[in-house]
Amino acid sequence: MNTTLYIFYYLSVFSPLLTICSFFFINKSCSKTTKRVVLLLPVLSLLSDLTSGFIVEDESSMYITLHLYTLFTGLVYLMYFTHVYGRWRNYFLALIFIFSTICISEFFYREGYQHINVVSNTVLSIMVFVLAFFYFFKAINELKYPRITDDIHFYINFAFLFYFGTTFFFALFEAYIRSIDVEISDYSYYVLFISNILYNLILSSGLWLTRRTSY
Amino acid sequence: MVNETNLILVVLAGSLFMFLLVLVVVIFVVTYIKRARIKESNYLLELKNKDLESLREVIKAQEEERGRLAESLHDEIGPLLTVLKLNVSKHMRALERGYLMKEDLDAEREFIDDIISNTRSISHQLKPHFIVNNGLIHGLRHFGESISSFYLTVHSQLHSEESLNSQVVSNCYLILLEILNNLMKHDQPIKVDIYLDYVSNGLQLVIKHDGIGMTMQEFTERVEAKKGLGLSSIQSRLLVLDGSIQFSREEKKHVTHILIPLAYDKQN
Repeated sequence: MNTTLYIFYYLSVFSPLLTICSFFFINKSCSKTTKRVVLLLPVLSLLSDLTSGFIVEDESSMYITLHLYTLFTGLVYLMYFTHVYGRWRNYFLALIFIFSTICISEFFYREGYQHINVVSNTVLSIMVFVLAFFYFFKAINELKYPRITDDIHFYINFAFLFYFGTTFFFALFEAYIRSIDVEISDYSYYVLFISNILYNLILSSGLWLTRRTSY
Repeated sequence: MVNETNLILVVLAGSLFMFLLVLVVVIFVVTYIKRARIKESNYLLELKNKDLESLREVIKAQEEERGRLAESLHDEIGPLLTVLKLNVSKHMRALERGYLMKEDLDAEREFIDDIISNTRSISHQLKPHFIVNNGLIHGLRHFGESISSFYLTVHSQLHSEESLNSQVVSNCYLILLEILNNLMKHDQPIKVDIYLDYVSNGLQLVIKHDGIGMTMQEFTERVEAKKGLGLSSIQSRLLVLDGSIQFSREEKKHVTHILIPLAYDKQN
């Protein structure tokens, strides 16, 4: 890693601290599930950066961690969406089962735990991106709140949409970039770190802006 | 060179994608706020129209009551007072001629008693002071004693009427009076039972009878078609009290449920 990349890496690693600090401003009327998820999101984000960093240093030993991390992250996100889309609880339970099966299959069968989990990571990104996008569709149809910016779920889903949309887009071209020049492929990490910093900025500003709303 | 150009294109496409995502969210927020404002203004308009409708109903009911009062005064009190005036003139002439009898004045006193009784009856319809002073249950029982068309029994679980304000009491009484008048005119019941009780969300009035009865649909149709002054009056009074009425059939009896929210009473 060059110096600039290291700076972005550390900024990205420490950006979840901003969200964790903002957690103290979380609206008291938020449900327990929302509170737990909001606290888990920066933790996951921190884990994501640490895993990425270790992979850069030592690829082979971190793949098992990456596999487990993807499964855990997916389950947290799906639990969050099960809470947000309460009416479709059964469908989400089925989705949790399908996602877990994909992760376990990839760990044991496909390329195994000695390789990066491309399939489960891609499935996770697409799934969260689509579900976050669906939140916006649902919100505009229901018009539940006079101002959508007063709802903490708006910021959570905005952060999801941005982070997973961006990382998925660059993951698509990662192989191509690597094929051009391995040195240049480090730039995809810039994208990952910048989107992680923005993800935490969106979450923490959401927590701050919705701290006094009545719902 | 080609590879570098492709790389720049990928980076540009990526940046554009990030920008588009932010743009989509910004457009979403703007559209959301616009739609929420439209929804809110529609809701306020609906609320305003509902309030206006209620006000219109109340004014209409007041007009109808004024009309009824004018009619009563014109048809019942007016002719009696005219007759009384003629009689007094006759008695004055008799007094001047010196043959006024005590029996003549006795007859006039009875006639004046009739006028007083009629005036009380009209005043009672207009503002049931008796009910406000003596209570709803007492008033209903008193009304039951004065009618001969059916047997009226009042079953009350109201331990105290003190928590009800006079407007609720008089409106409830007038609603029940209209229903009983309608039963007398159209339904020919033999036995009518009135149940009064407090329920979790208000005051409940239940009228059970073995007459012909009415369905909810018939009630709504008649009110909408403006058939029957009494039904419109019931509807208007319920609007004032924010109450509701339901018609049903239980164990071969017709049942009318009226619910008056207590929140209304607390507000007033």
